[in-house]
Amino acid sequence: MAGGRFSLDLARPSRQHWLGYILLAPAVLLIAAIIVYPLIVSVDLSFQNVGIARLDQPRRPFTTANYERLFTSPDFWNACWVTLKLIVVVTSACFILGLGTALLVNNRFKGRSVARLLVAMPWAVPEVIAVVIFAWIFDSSFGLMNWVFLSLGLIDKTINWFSDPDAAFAVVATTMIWKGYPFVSIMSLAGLQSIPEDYYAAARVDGASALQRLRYITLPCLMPVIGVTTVLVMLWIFRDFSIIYVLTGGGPLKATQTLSIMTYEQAFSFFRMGYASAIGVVTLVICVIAAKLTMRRAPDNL
Amino acid sequence: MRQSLPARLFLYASVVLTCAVLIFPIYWLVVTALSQPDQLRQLPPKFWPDEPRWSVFGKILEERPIFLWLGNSALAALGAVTISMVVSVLAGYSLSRFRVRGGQSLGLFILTAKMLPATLLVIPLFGIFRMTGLIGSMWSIILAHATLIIPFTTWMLKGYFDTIPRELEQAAMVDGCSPLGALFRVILPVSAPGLAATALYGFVLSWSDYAYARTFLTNAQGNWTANLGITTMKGEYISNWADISAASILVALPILVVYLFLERYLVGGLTAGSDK
Amino acid sequence: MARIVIDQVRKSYGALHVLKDFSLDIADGEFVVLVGPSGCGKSTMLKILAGLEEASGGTIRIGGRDVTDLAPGDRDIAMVFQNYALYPHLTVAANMGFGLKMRGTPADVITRRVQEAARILDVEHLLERRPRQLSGGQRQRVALGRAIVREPAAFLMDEPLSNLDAKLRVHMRAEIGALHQRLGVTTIYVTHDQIEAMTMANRIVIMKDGEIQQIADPETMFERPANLFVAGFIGSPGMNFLSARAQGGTTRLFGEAVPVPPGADGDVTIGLRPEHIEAGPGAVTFMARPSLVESLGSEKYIYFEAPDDNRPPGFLKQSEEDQRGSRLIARLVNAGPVRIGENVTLSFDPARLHVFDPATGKAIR
Repeated sequence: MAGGRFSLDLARPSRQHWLGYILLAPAVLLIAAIIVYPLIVSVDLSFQNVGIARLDQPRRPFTTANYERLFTSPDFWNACWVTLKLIVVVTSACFILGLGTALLVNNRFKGRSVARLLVAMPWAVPEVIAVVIFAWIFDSSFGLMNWVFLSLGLIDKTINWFSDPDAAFAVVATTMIWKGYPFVSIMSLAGLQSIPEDYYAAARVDGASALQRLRYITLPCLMPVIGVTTVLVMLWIFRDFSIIYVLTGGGPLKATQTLSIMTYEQAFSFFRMGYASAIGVVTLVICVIAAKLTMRRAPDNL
Repeated sequence: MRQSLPARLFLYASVVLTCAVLIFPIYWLVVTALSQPDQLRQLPPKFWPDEPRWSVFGKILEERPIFLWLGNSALAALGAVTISMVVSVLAGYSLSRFRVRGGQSLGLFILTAKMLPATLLVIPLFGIFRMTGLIGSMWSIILAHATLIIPFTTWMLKGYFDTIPRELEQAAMVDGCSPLGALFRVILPVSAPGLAATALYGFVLSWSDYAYARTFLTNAQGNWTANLGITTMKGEYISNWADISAASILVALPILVVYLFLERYLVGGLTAGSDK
Repeated sequence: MARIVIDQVRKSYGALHVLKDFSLDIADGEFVVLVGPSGCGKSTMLKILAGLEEASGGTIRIGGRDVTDLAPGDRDIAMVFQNYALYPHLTVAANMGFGLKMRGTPADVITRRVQEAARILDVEHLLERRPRQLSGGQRQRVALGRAIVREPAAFLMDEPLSNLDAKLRVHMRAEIGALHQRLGVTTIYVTHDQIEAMTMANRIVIMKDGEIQQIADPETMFERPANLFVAGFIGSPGMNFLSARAQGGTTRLFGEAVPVPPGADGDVTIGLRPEHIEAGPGAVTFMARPSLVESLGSEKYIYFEAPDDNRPPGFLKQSEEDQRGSRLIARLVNAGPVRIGENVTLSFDPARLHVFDPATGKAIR
């Protein structure tokens, strides 16, 4: 046994740490091939005047024209503004809904586990399907939402949801909120369940009201979870492609064109992949900053 | 503590109302699918069809290759999850147990990769797949989904392995296992629930993708995934919401079923390591 | 069964030396306990011995064979862990037989040996259960069973009792002792609990900051501690320390002249064990005014202030739970009524005193 194994006896104390590298190798190779290499290609493309990426052809001369064009383009700044608006609106709404539902189903009542399942169910609906649902609900002629608004007397003629910039933005935001709040709900619920009952018992003994218990126990205990969740939700909105693209394609009049959508449009509708890569690299920088922020918030995770 | 009756009633009322409002879109999808197409063009809308048209599912399955799409989605997910799991189990274990030089930076990179937008990677991947002739093939979508899944699964599995005491593999090694033997004979069997949750989560990630499928597979009809198929219907069937809804239900069903029955695992994966 | 020779084993992480030149010769069948506060290097030494960690230098021989860089599984040792480390997915029988199976032992031999070990440890009725269905004490037995099934050359035990409650710990302590008597296998046992060390060991190795402080049998450890650390570590309640000046073979304690070894000259630290102070007059008699009296029924702990001239040296940090400052403790058996604030007559035999050099901490004899 010893003779045969001698060549690669990783159990020997002096070689045990080799295994760490060996186990990591497949992941490193694969990640290098399908993530790192594409990232490098992406950065490289962003410094070339490229229409359709052809890796088998000699690279074009180095130029910073894409970036110059990008930072002077009103479309880019519009996309930044839309992205920011969407992040602020959707994140805050997701938090109100998510925290609210989490607090609600964290109560003790019969059927609580079913309620928990139902409340977070949109999480399990694929984004494309969510788009189908909301595209129909906000249909201009026979959609439910127009009928509801008309019946309530909020409007006197039907809104054309997908051709009015503000209305389209509202539809996109609504869809994203519905798809996004369950994540906040699930995370907050997990956070709520990790708060020891003793804290509440002690607060009751001290005569704290329900509102005070929420303010001084629940929310402070949830803060770490909320911190990480906020970053994740914001990143999700920042990155999202399918909801906006299938729902509005970024229109009308670029009212729903986020940086993600702009990148994709430039690359695959106008075939300006060099320019699109430049936008992509800018988003990458934003992602790295966000990643650093999450790391600082959750140092234990490494 | 026992609550008073009014408080309990109020609680139940709010729970029922909240659930009703939040679930309504899903309910509306079902109602739409089961309605006669001309009924959908009437106002006020009907909140339950007069005679539910169950045959719509049969009809849509005949008209559209839904099963092919679902099969493609499943194949892409299985392929991507298998590749990702093999790689991430090993890497996650290494990151959890060994002090590897550069391990810290690799972990940081993986965390960053989790946050990369698909729209960033899709351009170079498009170039790479075109060059290698993979464009339009299932391999393109499997590899692209692996870029989505690997960062998540590696991170989740590292977190899971961190919860398993080191003494387990130390005992196994004293008992005569090689370090790899300890991993496969002891650590992996013990981690089965964590492995299942992680794989399931990867499956959902792959199943939900649209960006990669739309970019790489649009011209390869035979390889369309479910999400891609549905969006092509939306484009052309502007008026036939009943059919799209029926198809959507069929596509959403697998994930919804997984969610309803394995919610504990999925949620466990979602919240792992992030509540610190 | 085997003799174990550890020769100048070191372990360092960069500039951090967690283990300094550790040498120990363990006789066949001996029960050696490594004891010391947390971070003293005892667990590291055990892991190196098991092959779970690499030594930075030195050699280890088990039964005459150099095992310094041999795989843990090739060393013919068995280990019992603090958290038992039972395989949760295997039954008790499979847990116990795992090591034999890894070595390719035939199934019928495994069954027989598992049965035998189970009988010895009285866990026969648990063989088909899984670890999570067992109580703490039962898990402990199974972990021991897993070790003895293999009939190894040596047992390594890493704080195996610290997860048990106090009563069970005393019971299992006796049982491990009995098991060692019965099997006679060389055992190296790591603990932070000096009582476990004193009750179980043939020889104790006391460690601190990666260094061996003293190697001796329990009796010697108690009677002739090599330095202040050992003197304070062994015994409960811990030894009282007083400072004094010695000259020409005498010093003054409690205002009385007391003889000390001739080697002592100048400032000295005197150690006096609480159990060596007696009620009533004796060789050296003094009066004390108790500030606290704890009665345990069979005996009394009496706390009193040290005289100003003999204030205990401040640098002597006792163990965590024993921060008594300048107070001394007497442990009296069969004393009459003692009240707080009322003077009581106490005495001690100067032959029982320990004298240390306060600069080096070494004992002066």
